[in-house]
Amino acid sequence: MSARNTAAGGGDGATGEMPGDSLEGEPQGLSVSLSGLMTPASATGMASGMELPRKRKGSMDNPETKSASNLEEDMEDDQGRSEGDDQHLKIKCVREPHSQIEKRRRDKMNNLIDELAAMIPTCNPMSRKLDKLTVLRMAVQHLKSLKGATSSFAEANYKPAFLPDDELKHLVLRAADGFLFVVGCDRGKIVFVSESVSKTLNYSRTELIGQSLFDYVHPKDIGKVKEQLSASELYPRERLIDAKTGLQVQAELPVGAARLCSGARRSFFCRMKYNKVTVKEERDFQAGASKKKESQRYCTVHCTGYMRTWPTRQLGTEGEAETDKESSHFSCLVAVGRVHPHTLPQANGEIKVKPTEFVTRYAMDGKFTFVDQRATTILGYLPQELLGTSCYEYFHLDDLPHLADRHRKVLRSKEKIETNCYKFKTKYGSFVTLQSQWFSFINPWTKEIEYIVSTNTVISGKSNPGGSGDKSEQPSSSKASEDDAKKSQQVPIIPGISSASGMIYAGCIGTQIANEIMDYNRMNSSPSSGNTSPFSLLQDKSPLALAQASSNVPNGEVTDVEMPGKSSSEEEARGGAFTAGESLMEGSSQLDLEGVPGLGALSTDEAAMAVIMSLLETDANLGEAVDFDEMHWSL
Amino acid sequence: MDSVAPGKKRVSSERRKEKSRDAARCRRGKESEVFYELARELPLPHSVTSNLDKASVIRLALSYLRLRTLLKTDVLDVESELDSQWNSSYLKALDGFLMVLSGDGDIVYLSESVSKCLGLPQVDYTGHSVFEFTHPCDHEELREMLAQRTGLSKKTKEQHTNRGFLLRMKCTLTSRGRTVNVKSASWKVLRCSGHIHTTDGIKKVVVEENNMSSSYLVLICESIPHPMNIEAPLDSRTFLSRHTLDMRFTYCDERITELLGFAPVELLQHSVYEYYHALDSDHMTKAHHYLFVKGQVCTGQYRLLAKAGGFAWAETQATVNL
Repeated sequence: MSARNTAAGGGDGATGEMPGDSLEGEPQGLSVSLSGLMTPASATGMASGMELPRKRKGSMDNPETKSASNLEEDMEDDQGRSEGDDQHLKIKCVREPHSQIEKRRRDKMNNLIDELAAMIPTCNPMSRKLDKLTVLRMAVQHLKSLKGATSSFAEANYKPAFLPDDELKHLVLRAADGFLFVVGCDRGKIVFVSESVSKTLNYSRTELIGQSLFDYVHPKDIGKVKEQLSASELYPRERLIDAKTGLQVQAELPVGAARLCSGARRSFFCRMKYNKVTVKEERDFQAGASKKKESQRYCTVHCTGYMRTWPTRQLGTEGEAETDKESSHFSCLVAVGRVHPHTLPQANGEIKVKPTEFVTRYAMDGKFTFVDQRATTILGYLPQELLGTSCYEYFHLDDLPHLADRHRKVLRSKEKIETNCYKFKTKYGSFVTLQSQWFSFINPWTKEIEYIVSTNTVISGKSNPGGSGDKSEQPSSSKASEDDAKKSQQVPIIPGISSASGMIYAGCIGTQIANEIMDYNRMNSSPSSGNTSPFSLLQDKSPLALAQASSNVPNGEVTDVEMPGKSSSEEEARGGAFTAGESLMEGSSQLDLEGVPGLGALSTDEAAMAVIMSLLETDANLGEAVDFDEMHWSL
Repeated sequence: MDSVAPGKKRVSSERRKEKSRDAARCRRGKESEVFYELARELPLPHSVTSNLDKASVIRLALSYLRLRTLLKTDVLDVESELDSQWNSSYLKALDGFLMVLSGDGDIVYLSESVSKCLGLPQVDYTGHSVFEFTHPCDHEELREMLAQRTGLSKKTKEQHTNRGFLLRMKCTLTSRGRTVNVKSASWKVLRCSGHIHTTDGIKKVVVEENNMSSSYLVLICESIPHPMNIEAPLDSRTFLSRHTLDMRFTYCDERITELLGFAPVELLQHSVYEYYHALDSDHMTKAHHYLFVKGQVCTGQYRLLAKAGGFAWAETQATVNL
C-alpha cells in the first residue's frame, strides 16, 4: 500500500537525517489504540492512495519538525506500524537503529502469523508453511464460520462482544465459587438465584426462589443485610470519609432516593446457611442414634452487587404487592455471592510461641553493661536500674555457686556456655526462672574480653534443678536468714570476702572472679595489653565529681560507711561493687578523667555510679532508686 | 556497442526494480485488505476494530480463537429464558473485571470493565503478555500461580485449583478519573482470586504444534478500595482505624465500641497485635508484610479480641498512606 511505502520512506528518511532517531517507533501505537478520534483518518488510511501526497509531504519536512510530523503521519498510518502497541519498543533504548526495530517488528509479526496458523483448523493439516496472506484469508473464513455458529446476524440488537454473556457468566463461575441472586429490597424476597447456588450452598434453586433471604442469613447478620438493602430510613447517618483528612464526616445528607438509584453499589459479607445434607447424616437420622442437631452450618459469603429498579409492570406474574411504598417501582439488589475465598489457613492448634528472651551484657566482673528493653517486661527493672549493678545481686542464693562456676568458665573459654535454670530476682521481689547462654566477646585487636553476652530465656514451669524452690516475697529478710545459713557455703568458693555484720557481698563474687581471670591473664600475657579495658567500652561520661571523694576508700572503710540498719543486700553489694571497681583499677585506665584525682582509679562509669549511689544512700539514708535523670546514660 | 549494453542493462534493472516495487505494492495492498477484513470479523464494535494496527488484529484474532477453544471443552448447561435474562448481570455485579490467562501468561480475555478499573481499553490488553502490565516484583509470584502444580499431593485426588493473591498492575486512571499515558501509569493493587483449569478436550496435535500449555487461569480481579474513596457505604459492622507503621492505633472509629467494646481512646498507642488471636498472628504478620510490599492488602478472616473477652471474626482491607 502506498501509505505504508511512504511511511517507511519517511522513516528511513528520518534515520538518514537524524541517525538513531527512532521516535516514530514509539508513540504511534499508543495513540492509535487510545484515541477514538483517529477513526476518520484511519478509515481513509485504509483506502488507497489518498494519503499518499500527505505522507510524502510529511516525509519532506525539515529535521527539526521531523519528530512532530512523523508522529502525525504515524498516527494516521495504523497499518504501517504493526509493532503498534509493542510496549517493549517503547522501553528500549532510543539509539537503536531503525533496521533493528524493523527486523524485530517483522519477527514479531511472523510469530503472530504462525500462532494464528496453528489456531486455525484448516491451516493445521498443511505440511508446508503457508504464506502470510493465505493464513490471514483462512483466518477470516474461520472467524466468519464461528460467528455464524454462535450468534445470528438476524438479531435485532446484535452487539458484538468478544464473549457472549452466557459464556461470560460461565467464566465468572469458573473463577469463583458463587452464584447470582436478586432480592427485593422491601421484604428480602429472593426473586432469582442462579443454578450455581446448589454447588455453593447446597440448596437447590427451587428451594430458595420465593423465600425470604433472611431465613438463610445468620441471625446476627440480618441487621447488616437489612441495612444494605434498605433505604436511608434505617441509616441514621451517612458515613463519608473526608478525602483530605481521612477522618469521618458525620453528615445528614438528604439521601433518600439517591442511594437506591440504579447502579448504586453494595459490597458486604454475611454468613449464609449451608445445607449440609449428606448420606451419612441421613443414615444417622434413620438409625435415630444421635440427637437431631439444630446447629446450622454457615459459610461466609462475600456479596458484591448493585441496586436496580424496575417499574413493576414488567414483572408480570411476579408482581410484588409492596408497590404501595415504592409507587410502582420495584427495587432490588442484584449481587454475586462468592463463598469467601479468603479463608485462613488454620494452624493445627499449635501456637508457635517464641520463647521470651532478652539479652544482657556483663562486664568481666558480672556488672550489667547493657540490658535489652525486653528485660523490663520480664524483670520489672528498667535497664538503667540494672546497669552498673552486679548480676550476682539478683541471682538466687542457691544458684550462686553454679553461676559463679559458669562465670569462671566463660571467661576462660571462647565457647558459648550454658547455664542451668536459675532464679533471677525481679523488681517486685519474686523470682523468675531463667536459663542463659553466655559467651565472652573478645576484642580482636586487644585480645581481651570486652564483655560477656548473655542471652536469657525465660523458662516457665520448670523446677530449678540447681537451686531452691521457694519464692520469697520479702527478699531482704529471708535472704538475710539464708545468707546467715549459707554463708559458710559461700566462703570456700569465693575466698576473701569480708562479711561484716553477717551480710553477703554478692557483687564481690563477680569481681573476685574477674580478678582471678585477670591475674591469670596478666601472668600469661604481656602487661601492656591494658587488662582493665573491659570497663571502658560502652558508657559515656557521667558526672564524676561526686566520685572523687570516695575513690580511695579501701575495703574496710566501705563497710563502715554502710548503715548498719540496712538489710538489703543490694546496697551492700553496691558497696562491694565499689570495692571491686577500685581493686580492678590497678592497671592503666583508658578513661580520661580530668581534674578528678583519685578517680583515675575508677575507670568505669558503673563503678563510679556505684560509688555515688552508695554515698547518696549513706548520706540521705536512701534505699530507693536514685533519680537517674541527671545521669546521662547511653542506652 | 559498449554504450548500448549498459544502457540496456540499466533499463532492464530499472524495470526489474519497478516490477518488484509494483509487486510489493500489490502484495501489501492485498495484505491490508485482508487485515481489514480480519479486523471486521472480530467480535468487537467497528469503532474499535477500525483503529487497530496489524499486530493487534492478529493478537485479538488469536485470543478470540483461544477463548473459543477454551470454552469448547466446557459443557455449557442449557439455560432457561429466566437465566439468560440475568446473564449480563454477573459481570456488572462484580466490582472488578474478569481475566483469563493462558498457561504462559498471555492475556486471552479481559472483560470490558477493565477500563473502569485500570484505565486502558480492553483491546490494549488482549493478546499481550500479562507480564507487560504487572509490577516486576510480582512476576515471580504470578508465574507460580500460573504453573500447574501437578502431583502436588498424591493423597488428595483433586489438586488445589484455587488461586488467590495480590497483583500490582499498571493503572492509567488518576484519582480524578482521567486517563494518563501508559508511560506515566501508576501501580494499582488488585486482589485476584480464581481457579486454574485445564482444557482437556484439546487434541494433542494442536497442543504440540502450538506449544500452548493446556491450562488456563480464570481470575476475578478487584481493586481494594482506598479508604479515602469508598464507593459502597460502610455498613454498621465496619469500622475504620488508622495506625502508625508499627501498627499502633492513632485513630479509631467509634463503631468499634458496639462491635468489640473498646472505646477508641483505650486503643490509641496500643499495637493492634495485642488484639489478634494467637493462632492468627502468623497470618496477620504475613498480611502486614504484604501490605508494606504491595501497598494494599486484604487480610483473610481473623479474630479480634473483644473487651469483655472472646473473639470476633473480622476481615480487614488496609492501605498504606504516604
